[in-house]
Amino acid sequence: MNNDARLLDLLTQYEDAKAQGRLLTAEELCSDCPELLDEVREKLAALERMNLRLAAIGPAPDTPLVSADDEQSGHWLNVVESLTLSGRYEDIRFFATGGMGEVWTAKDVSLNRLVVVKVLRHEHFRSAEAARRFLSEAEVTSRLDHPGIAPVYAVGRLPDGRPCYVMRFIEGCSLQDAINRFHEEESATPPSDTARQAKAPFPSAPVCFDSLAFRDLLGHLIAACEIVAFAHSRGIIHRDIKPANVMLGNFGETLVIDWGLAKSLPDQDEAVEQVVQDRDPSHETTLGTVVGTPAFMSPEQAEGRTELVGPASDVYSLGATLYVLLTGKAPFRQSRLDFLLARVRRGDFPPPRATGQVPVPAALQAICLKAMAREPQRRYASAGELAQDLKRWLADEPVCAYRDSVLDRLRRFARHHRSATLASAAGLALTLLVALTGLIVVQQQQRTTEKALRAEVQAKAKEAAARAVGDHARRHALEVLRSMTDDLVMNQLSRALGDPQGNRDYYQEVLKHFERLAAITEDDTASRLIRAEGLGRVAWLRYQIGRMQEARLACKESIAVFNALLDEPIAQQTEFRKQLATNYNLLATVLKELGEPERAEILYTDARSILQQLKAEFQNRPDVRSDLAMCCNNLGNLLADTDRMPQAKLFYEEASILYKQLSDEEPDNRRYLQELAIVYNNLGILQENLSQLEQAHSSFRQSLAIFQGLAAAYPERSEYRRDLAMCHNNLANVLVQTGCFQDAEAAFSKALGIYQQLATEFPNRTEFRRQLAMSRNNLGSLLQILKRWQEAQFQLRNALNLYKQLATEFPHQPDIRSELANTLNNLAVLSNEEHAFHAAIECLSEAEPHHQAALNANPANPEFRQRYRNALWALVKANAGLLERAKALAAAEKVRDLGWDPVANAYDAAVALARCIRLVEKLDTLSQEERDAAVSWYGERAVAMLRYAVEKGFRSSVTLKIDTDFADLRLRQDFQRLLADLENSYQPARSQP
Amino acid sequence: MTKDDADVRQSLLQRLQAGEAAARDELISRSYERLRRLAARMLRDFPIVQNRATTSDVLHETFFRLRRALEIVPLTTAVEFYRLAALHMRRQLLDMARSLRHQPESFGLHSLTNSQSSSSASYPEPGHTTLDPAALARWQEVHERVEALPEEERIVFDLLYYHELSQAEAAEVLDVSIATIKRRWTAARLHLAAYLGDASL
Repeated sequence: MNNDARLLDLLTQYEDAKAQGRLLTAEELCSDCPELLDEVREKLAALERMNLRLAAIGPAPDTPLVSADDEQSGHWLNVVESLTLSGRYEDIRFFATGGMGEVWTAKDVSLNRLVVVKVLRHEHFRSAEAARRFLSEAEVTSRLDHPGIAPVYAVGRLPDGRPCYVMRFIEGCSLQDAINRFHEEESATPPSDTARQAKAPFPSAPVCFDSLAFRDLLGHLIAACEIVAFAHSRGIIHRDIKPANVMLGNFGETLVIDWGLAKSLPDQDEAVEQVVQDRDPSHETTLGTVVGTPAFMSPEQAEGRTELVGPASDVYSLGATLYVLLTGKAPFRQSRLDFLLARVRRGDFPPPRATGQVPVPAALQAICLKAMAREPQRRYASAGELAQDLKRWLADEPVCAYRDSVLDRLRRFARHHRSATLASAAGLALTLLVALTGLIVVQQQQRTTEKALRAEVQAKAKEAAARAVGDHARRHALEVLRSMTDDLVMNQLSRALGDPQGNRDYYQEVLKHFERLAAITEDDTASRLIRAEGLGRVAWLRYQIGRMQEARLACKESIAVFNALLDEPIAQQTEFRKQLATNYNLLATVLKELGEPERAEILYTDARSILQQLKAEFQNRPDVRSDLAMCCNNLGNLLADTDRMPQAKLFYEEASILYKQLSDEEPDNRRYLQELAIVYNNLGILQENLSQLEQAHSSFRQSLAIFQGLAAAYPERSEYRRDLAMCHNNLANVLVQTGCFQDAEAAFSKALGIYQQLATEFPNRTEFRRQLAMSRNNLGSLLQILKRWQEAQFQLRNALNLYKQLATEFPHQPDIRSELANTLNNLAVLSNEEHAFHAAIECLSEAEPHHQAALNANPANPEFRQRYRNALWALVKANAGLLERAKALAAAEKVRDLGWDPVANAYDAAVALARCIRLVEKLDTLSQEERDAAVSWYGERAVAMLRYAVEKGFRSSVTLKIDTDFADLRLRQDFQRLLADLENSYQPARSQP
Repeated sequence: MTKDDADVRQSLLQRLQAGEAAARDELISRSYERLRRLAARMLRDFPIVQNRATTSDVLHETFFRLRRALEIVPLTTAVEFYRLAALHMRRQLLDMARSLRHQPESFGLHSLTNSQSSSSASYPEPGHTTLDPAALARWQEVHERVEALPEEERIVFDLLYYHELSQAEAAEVLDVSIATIKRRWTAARLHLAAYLGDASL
């Protein structure tokens, strides 16, 4: 038996014995084979480490892992043993386990004092990074010699190699415990002060901020501020200040503990962040870079922006600690961490006075809010300044963070000069009169706040009542809400056209109701179903108002609730299955919007199979078929977007058949008709992309016929007109491609007319103006093909004006900028045709910044790229027309050097030069000789450019032969040579298809 | 695991080997249960991931993944089933850990629920626990490293750790002696310890 196998057997033997409650030592195991002793010892340690680690990430019962008892007797013993052996410590007791280490208490015999021994936890033993971080607390605290920071007495290692250090033991409790006690006791005291009771707007007994207990706690907090200020002065920030990390000693001392996350300023000690950054190279916000305690961490910490974390971050956390002291609650209370962190980042917490429990003194609230300002520069400049302001409050002096109201100032004056008050009463009357106006303002403000507070409380009460009502009432509420959204489903489009903001508000309103339903926590099946439905509707509403990420969350939660019910009989019910499918469909749609087509596809497919099953069971239910059709259409869209046209076509066809059936059965149901028309339209676009122009034509015609009918029957429903215009436009595009220019012109004109109407009716809807501009641009391009220059120019100029207006309103929308530039391109092309070359160049230079803006925003967008290339083409031509050969060539070289695709760019540059031949041939300003020279010059340059393309890898001689743009080159010898070269020398490469 | 559980599993395995699809579904749901516990454990240890939506996600999605995978891959032996199921569990846990580390920032304006009605400040809230991203990374590492174990050791690891089989059951499934299972289990952990020790130095 070789050593490895022998080793495994020994270790197995060890584990078997352990399973029976016997711990064998390495020596015992190796009694027959002492040569293996070192290795066995090492492997045993490794094995135990692994066991601990596996136990830490999930218990595997029935496997020989270390139980809690083993831990006591095993490696824990180790600590006690080694500390005792050192002879210096006795009475060693286990105290607690922290993130990195175990904490023990012991008595230091030599100096007769209690100490804390921190030992790195076993499972972190082999991690150098963990050890470094563990020891960094000792290192940091040893650099901070301050009575408020527990000193480290010694640093060392246990015999098993684990690092440990010895610190001062503090007898006392944490500030958190003290605050809890304070708020519990104070609110438990029955209100004896009748005046206060009458004043207090809230029923519960308020905490007294004049009490000694409060002032004592505040004193501790001030001390903590000063300790932190001291650490800052030594270049160290704590990063994890919270009430639990402030210790109150039994003799009035204050200590700030747990410096394990502390960081040195400005540049040392970056290793911890470095580790995290290494794993997460992007500097975007990720939870992985968030360090600290969420409820107390500063927004910059919650954003994971470690570079911004500095002394001001500790000031914020001290402010949050003050918040807890004032209200008894953390500023952020949320059971979900992601939401909590999001709120921290936004600084979204209720001010202390709004917590509805205690009338917090306004000056203290102001101090707290200033310390917790979202922007670090708006907080106190230092922890020391925060301490100063708190001291001022204790001393009854005006605090920096708060401008006292007149009343406060008078009251303070009265308190400080109590004996003088009576004597100067007459003088005061005058002051009061002057101050009266100010007072009224203050009171009014207060009233407004109270009103808001009352409203908030009322809302809370209402919500509580809503939650408390019985199942029956809840169901009734659900019915009402359902009808609200169902009405929405029917009307949403027209609503959205008429009053988008109002519509949004309405969604928000309904959303709130459903969020309440989604918050139902009862565990019975009925409640869970309601919760699932509530979540589903919340998801839908969020989707409608474009809050995709949140929609996704709600939808996923809804599906999870449904899934948890899958095993129950209810899951067999039709409604259950239908709703589950609806949610799959919605989640898929949301995921598609969020750029996750693969997952969307799976979910659509799942939804479809559920609905198909239901359809098989209930042939007569139109709602099931309609849902199925919708699902098919969505799936078709997804497949078309991901370039799987044939499959997409099948789904569109399935959807169209279903909607056709439905609309035949219920001819009065407009929705089926509308959906059918939409599917036809989608099918048409797909066929157009597949170059099946005739079929596309017929699909668009079918769609058009339906929308025409709907728009005529319901002229008040603007969405039908909008869809009709879209359909006219799509049809026109196909007609242009099939050469039916007259029909195309008619269709474009119709689309234009409708968009014009809509843009007038709904001046606030930018998309109508944009579509109108697009329509004019399209019509202008067509008229240009038809050589009706003036009409073309009229449309293009109009389009240009619309786009210019839009671009001023939305300077950061690349699509609009690019479309604007494109219209300018078209105008330039038009000018070139009319030989107005200067005008063309003017248009093009006007277009240039817009092209650049669009490309800057989205450099890879093929449409943006194509438009810019077209602009450069037009520029080559205009310069050729102006006989500026050098400039023309420079523009062509610009095309060549676009850097998107060297071959295609060079080819395009050659096209631009070749096209100039036809232009210069027609220039009547030139003599015949000059013309010939120009033709030859451009021919030469074009062929040279083609040769460049070949050098870059262009191989298709066939393309060169059939491309009409090169027709004027074909007689040239250099072109023939190039072709011959291509066909001969590049023969091998042509084997590539 | 109780004796009953073991018996049930045994009969399920026999039915699976006899080619019964329903047995497969039941086995899946058992693995699912184990995964749920592992996920719950992870959530407890890493408050940063305490996100109900994500928990349900992970479970929901694994369920589907597993079902889908097992529908596509025809299973002939129990070992194949266990191997595939463990693979998916592991991947799901890793995905979960990864997605948590790269969660997008854009959580919106509305929180779904804040149903905590207790006003007591001492209520243990996840927001009060110090976050330590390195611990999550260490956790992730273990599951990643399992993938790199030698085939025989990985299968034993899968059976004992992810599927919670007893050593005797594992021996039966693999048709080897219990001693072999023990040796492989030990070797697997030593390998992991070596990998992880090296990785963190």
